[in-house]
Amino acid sequence: MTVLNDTGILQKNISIIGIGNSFRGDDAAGPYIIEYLRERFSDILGPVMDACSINIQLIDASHDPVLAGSIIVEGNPVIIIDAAEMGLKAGSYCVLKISDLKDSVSLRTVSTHGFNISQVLIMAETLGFSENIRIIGIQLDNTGHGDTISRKILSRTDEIVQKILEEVKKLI
Amino acid sequence: MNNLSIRVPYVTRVEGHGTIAVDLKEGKLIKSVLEIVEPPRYFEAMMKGYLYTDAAVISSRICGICSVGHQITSVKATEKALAFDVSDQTVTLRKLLVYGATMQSHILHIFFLAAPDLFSAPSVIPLAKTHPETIKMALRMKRLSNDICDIIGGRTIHPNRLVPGGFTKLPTREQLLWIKDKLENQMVPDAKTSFELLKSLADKFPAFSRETEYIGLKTDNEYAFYDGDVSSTDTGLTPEKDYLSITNEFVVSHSTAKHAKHKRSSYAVGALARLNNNYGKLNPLAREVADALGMKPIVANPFLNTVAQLIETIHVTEESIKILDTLLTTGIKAERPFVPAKLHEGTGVGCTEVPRGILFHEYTYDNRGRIVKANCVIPTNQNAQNIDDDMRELVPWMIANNFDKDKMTLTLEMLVRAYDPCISCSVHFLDVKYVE
Repeated sequence: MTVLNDTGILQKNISIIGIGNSFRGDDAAGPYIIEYLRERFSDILGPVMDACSINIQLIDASHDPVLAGSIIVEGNPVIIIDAAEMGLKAGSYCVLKISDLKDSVSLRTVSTHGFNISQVLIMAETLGFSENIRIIGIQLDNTGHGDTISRKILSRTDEIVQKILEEVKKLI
Repeated sequence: MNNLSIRVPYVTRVEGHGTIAVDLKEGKLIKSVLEIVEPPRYFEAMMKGYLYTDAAVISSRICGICSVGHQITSVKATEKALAFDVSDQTVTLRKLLVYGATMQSHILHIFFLAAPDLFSAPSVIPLAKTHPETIKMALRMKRLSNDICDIIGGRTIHPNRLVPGGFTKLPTREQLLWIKDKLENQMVPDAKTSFELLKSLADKFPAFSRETEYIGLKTDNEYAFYDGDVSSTDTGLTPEKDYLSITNEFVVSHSTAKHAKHKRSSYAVGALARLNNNYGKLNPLAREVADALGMKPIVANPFLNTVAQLIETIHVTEESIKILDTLLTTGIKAERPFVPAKLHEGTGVGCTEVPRGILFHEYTYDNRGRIVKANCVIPTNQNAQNIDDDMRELVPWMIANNFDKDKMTLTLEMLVRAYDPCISCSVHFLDVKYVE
């Protein structure tokens, strides 16, 4: 996670958090997007940060959803990227609010641990942190063992990144 | 109560999957075990043939919760096997990393896994409504401990700066100052509030005791986490290289995770075992809290492992502040990881106190630095037989105290949760089953 740079601590404004296990196929979609943005930070996020006078943190929360909760309760806007079973075509993505997690019976986030991101987000909402949270759910295809993400997801990376940038601008 | 059957398939609020099974027939306890149902993962076999630089990377993947502990123990075993020199600064930074990981894991267990039982809640989510400030505090504490691991290890889970011989990147003075400020001005006040909270909930812990053998690291100069001899409350000190004489792993039919025993039929590791071995080395605030909570050795109530975890959280906070004071005084020296001039055959043992107890890794390398043999002995394995032995005495104790079946089921689950088991690690391992 990049809370910090080489000279100290970045001022925290917007956090983009990827959730998922990098060794369970498409469950790694969230961490993959974070790595993709990290490698192109100055090209993709730099202009947005300069234009909007904001700082953006990229956080790979891996399979520790409680880490995402601990960031949310700091009160800054948060975008969460997570692979999800939404009954859509693989690679499709949706921008969700916490209320959607409770309202939609068809959405079931994927977690390799008992304490999943949906529970963390509902807990965050109960604590009064829901307005500035966006969840980008990416429809997964395969969660078998291995570090390969489906082409159907990889081929839509740029679209997903653009959607993230749109949401960043809305949250400012 | 003469006949009873309890099955808790998939015990919740633990890492991994296990089942509690209890059968009482005509007043005789037939079965009381924790069945571990996850398949073995064969990590030791997977590691064969890999280079010494890969050992920590692979073994850390045994578990996302315990990744820091596996990495540190792994690099220590490799360094012993290949006779690497490690600087004092590297050891100091590793201790800081171990303390950060200990805080992170203990806070998660105390507030998110164990606390709901103390508040009679099914999970932490209702607590967010009834005790919002407590949950916010817990999240704040966890965030800081995550940040410590991030700053020192490069990542909060599966750190990437920790290699045999040192660190690939060192923290800055500004980062160390930031951690120190946060520990002093955030973690210490939050830890004191946590103490008051647990004190107010003291009567919620079942008053059950069963003394066992408590095993943990011990050293002369500090409450041991990073190194020392293996200390048993029954038999005293054993050098870490002789760990197999302590662990004596064996298989049982109801578990895919190996069990362990030493002097008695079972032994305990973890926060309570460490406290029973290291109480005299607690830092001042941790000692004050331990005494106020009645936690003087020998503490034989396994449910109080959670309380021991809070005491340790306070202790490692104080210890981290001491370390940071030293590092900030001496300054961080630019240094690269030790690189050996020539590789040679060798065998080495590393052991570290990770959140759930003492962890052992042992590797044998060939003269090209490739792993010939690997062995990992995990804390949850070492506790597994002790949990079974606790359950065997707990069931009659609950019957004698007129617990109904629901209360018995909850208490059995609380017992297993108190050990904070990491089942994924143990099968490198909960559900309650009763038979009536």
